[in-house]
Amino acid sequence: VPEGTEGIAMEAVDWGYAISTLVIRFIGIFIVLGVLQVIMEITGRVFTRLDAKKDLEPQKTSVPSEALTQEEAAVVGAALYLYERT
Amino acid sequence: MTWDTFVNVLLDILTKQTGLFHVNYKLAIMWAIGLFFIYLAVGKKYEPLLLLPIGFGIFLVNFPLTPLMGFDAHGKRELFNIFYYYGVQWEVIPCVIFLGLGAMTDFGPLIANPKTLVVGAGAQLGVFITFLGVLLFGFTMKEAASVAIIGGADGPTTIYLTAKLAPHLLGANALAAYSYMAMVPLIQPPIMKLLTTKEQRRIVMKQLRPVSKREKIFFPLIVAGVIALLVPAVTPLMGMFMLGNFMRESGVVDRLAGSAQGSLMNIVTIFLGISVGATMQAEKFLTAKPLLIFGFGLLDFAVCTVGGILTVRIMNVFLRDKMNPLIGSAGVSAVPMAARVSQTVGQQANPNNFLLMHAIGPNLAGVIGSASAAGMLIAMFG
Repeated sequence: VPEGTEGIAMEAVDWGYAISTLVIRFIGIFIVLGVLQVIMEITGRVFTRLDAKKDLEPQKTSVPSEALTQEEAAVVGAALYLYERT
Repeated sequence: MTWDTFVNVLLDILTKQTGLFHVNYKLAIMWAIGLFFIYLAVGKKYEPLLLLPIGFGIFLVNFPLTPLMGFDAHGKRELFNIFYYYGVQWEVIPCVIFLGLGAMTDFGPLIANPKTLVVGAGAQLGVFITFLGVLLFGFTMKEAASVAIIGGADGPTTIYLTAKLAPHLLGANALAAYSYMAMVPLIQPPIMKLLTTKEQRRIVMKQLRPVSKREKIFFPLIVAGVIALLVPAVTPLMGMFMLGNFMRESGVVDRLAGSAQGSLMNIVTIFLGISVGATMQAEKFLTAKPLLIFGFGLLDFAVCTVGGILTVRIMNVFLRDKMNPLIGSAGVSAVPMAARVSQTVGQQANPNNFLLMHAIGPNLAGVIGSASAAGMLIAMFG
């Protein structure tokens, strides 16, 4: 639309321009939101995979078995044995 | 002092310093309009946060000789004029409201089902149809663009665009947008039922996947980046929206997020309502245009609803997991009212169907869609 003509009413409206630019811009909205959709789908998959990987990682125990000496292990074993017998 | 002098002074006071001799039927009509919107807000509870200050603004500004919307003898702006000029004309208030809206919005349902973003685009159909329709009635292109965005059902976006393109229509456009947003439960259900079969309304959608905190943090950054790149004209609005959401989701600035969605939002809402009401002065408002704007606003809402539903129906042709077409109507934004309407109409067909969370997706997509539409109209005519 030539400069300044946008303020002139109906008889000056370039209908061809108005309709074609509107169609392009309506499709443009689909493109903008479509691009967003694709990005969200991709990031969603990446994050879901990352979270799944995190869940699969072995959980660290608070008391590693190496921390027990042989005597301590024997004492724990004996205690458990006695406990089960009673 | 003679009796004549006393009478002259008294008459001078009554004519020049009171409004008694300046009242006319146009002002009376505007009082009635102001009181009507106050009634809608107080009596019917239709969008009271906005319609109450708007109604009061209309009522007050249409009393003669009130120093509210003009300039004083020294050229200084009067009270409402200050609110309007620095808040609306400078485009500050709509952006600050979007900041607050972002801080109170959980985008989880949209992130869980990004397909619904396309529904938000389809629901902008009415914006473009209305634009052409309004042009036929002798509106200028800029005016037509500002009226067309009403169907986007987004108050701040309508105000932002109108203030930029056709500030003289601000009152009528804002009122039409907020009134119809409040009337979504009346406008949409007949259209929804007309465009869907009972079988389609009964479709039960797959449960949404859980969304991680990390995804929610990345979402506003992605949206802000994409919008700023593709529709830069609307970056002030969407940028603030996403900033508010980022503040919320990051979890490190709870105080800021709280202020943005609480006190700050409330403060600017007061100023916005008054400013919009104050623009509706009798001599500017009582023309044929506001009536046409209300008529086209209704058409706009209806066509946007149709656009959203048809988009879902078209998508369903290609999708394995079908979507319930009723969630399409939520694409007009009007958050969360339109989503609630989808839920209600869905439950009428199948009482065990819970569509609310599914409908929030297109509902939020509609906000992004209408802001994109506004950006494109600004790029055209701004």
